[in-house]
Amino acid sequence: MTDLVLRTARPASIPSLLNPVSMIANLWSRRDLIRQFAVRYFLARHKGTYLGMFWALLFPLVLLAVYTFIFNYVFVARSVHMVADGMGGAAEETRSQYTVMLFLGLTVYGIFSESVVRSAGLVLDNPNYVKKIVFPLEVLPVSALLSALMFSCFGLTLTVVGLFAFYPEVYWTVLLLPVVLAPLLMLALGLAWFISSLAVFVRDVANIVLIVVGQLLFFMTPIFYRADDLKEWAWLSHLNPVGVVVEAARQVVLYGAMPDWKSLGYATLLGLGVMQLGYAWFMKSKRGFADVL
Amino acid sequence: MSSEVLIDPVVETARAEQAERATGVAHHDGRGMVGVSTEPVIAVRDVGKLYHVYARPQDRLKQAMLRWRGKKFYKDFWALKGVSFEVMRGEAVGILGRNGAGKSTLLQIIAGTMAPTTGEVAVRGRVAAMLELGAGFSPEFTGRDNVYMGGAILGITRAEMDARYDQIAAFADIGQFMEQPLKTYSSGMAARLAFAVAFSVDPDLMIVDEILAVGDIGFQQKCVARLRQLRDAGLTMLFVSHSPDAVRSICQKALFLRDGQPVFYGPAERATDLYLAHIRESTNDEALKTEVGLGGPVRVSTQVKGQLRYGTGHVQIEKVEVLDAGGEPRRAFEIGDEVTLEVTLHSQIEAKDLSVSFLVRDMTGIDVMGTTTFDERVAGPLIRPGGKGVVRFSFENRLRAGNYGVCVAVTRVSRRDYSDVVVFDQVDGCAGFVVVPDPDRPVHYKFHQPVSVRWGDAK
Repeated sequence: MTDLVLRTARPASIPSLLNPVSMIANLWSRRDLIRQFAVRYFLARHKGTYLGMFWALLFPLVLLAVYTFIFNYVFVARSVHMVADGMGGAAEETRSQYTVMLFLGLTVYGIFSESVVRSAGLVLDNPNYVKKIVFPLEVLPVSALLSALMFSCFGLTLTVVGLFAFYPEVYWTVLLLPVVLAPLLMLALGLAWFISSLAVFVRDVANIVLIVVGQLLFFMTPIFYRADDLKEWAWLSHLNPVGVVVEAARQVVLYGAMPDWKSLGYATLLGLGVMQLGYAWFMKSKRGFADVL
Repeated sequence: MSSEVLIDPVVETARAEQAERATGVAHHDGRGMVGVSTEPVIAVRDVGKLYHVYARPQDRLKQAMLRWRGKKFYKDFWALKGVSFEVMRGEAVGILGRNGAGKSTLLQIIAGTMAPTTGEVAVRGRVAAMLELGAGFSPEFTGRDNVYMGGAILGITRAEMDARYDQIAAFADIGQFMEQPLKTYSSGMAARLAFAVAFSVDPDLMIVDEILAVGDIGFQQKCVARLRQLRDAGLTMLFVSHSPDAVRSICQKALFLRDGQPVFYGPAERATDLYLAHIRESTNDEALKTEVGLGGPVRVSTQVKGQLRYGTGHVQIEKVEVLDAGGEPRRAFEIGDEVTLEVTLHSQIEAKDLSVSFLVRDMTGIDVMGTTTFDERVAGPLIRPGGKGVVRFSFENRLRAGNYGVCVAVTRVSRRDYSDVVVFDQVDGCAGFVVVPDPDRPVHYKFHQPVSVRWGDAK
């Protein structure tokens, strides 16, 4: 009987929403709920299908086959690129190696697009969670991101298989992958908070996100190609935080090199800022959800 | 206020409650203790909810983000205004009102799913809000999965839920369906599961919106029994219903809302009476609009004692008397005695199609018997404006011993389905009588219906 909750007309203060400590404390206290929803999102995708979780593996495999065929044999986007041959020298990148590179890019981009595209419907499609139960809505984008991460494990596993099969050496720098992915996750989470709230008020957001994240950003990110292939446009790829992370992931996973710390630092700062602002936006605007849903 | 057409939008606060608070010294914290608490579990202070009615959803966003521009993108609508009340620990409070009176809005604000526009609500302790049954459930997942999820939503960890799971399954009592996806459930089974989860989390405050009606009778009784048990252990309840009977049976107090404003807060009996009167009043207004030549309501001038009175006043009840077989006023009757109700009317209009009715209500609030002159097909004489009329109802008393109240009404009706009824005057509790016990002819049930009895040889 000690915890007194006040429900007032006053909105939460902006400074408290912009305080990362209070954000983390809030989410940490909901960790059990976040975990359960992440598992639910993960399982719900293929629940009730005959192949079940096998779809989660089949989907990237089919993508891999299609992209391998198209970009190795139809449109040869691959530029001549030298990679280590494992004997101290360098050899031209093989088709298989290019495919692994492409696939790593796809998987990393998938974490981002999966959680951001999905975010538009998180609140909008669950008016019950807004109006009928007392629910900390801010956990939904976090759970969606975690579920996307779980799906990416299938793709990352396939990448590792390719790494062992087609690359002469596996480097310790693979262990840096979490550090490299961190800015991407923060960016995705911040955008997801922002978009899931915005979509409640402006229904067009879902379509815009689909075009921007599904198409525009996808092709602007070095996935089939390398940032260097853009030549005088390479700066575009360095500005794009998703591109920075994709490139850095390739450095640490495939080539045993350090990422471009300067670019990664920029992406991290951007990610931190977007995450905090997205959270503040969500927390401030969620008071209006029940009025329009 | 016995002789006035009732209901002013003024909050009456029960004096008893203030007295209770003034003397409430026994402060306690522990669960399972019953006593007077000085701290309200819910304190609602001047709560209002202004809806901005937006033509389009994006206007809502413009308003949120461009408020400082001083431009309004909406129209005002107060769904709730100036609501203040307190609920003490262990109290069950009902919220009454017609559709759109603001009941659900108030519950949502107290539950925390909606922010108030003005005022504040202070809530102490863990809240289990059932604004809609199973709202947090997912159809694709099993009952078991949903139980854990429901617990997580209410802030209970998986480990804690493990400890409560058996108890929940036992209360829901849906057997093997616990392992089936929720989409295979009947609505009754889903309701069982939802209640089982809500009960399991030991809430301090339970908010229930109009959902006790689901589930079979056995389960309803189980729920009510559990609610009473929890209430005795200190659970506070807030309960919305259209059914005044349900509110009376569960709640000690009730809040009556009309058009978003509190009309009355106090004992449930009185609140439900006012609410029922309000409903009949509005039905009357509807009927009056279509009635030619009656004009607006007439001020009630006759003096009749009674707990509650309403009607248009065109024809008024002047006097109600309980008489014995000899025509003398009498209060006490035995079984078999003849009882006569004499109703004197005073009319302001040329009254035709008049129907006078009475009903006898026992101490538990149940309407035991009664009839109308219309149903008995005894047409009354035409009463001229300013004239009077007298109706006498006589019946043989078959009621068991106890106190009885009488309600009398005078209406205008000509269609058998009562679709054109206008209530001129109705007075609840305008008379009463006592039935004294007769040791030679005890009546064990509500009333005695003559029964023929024969003995015969066994075959």
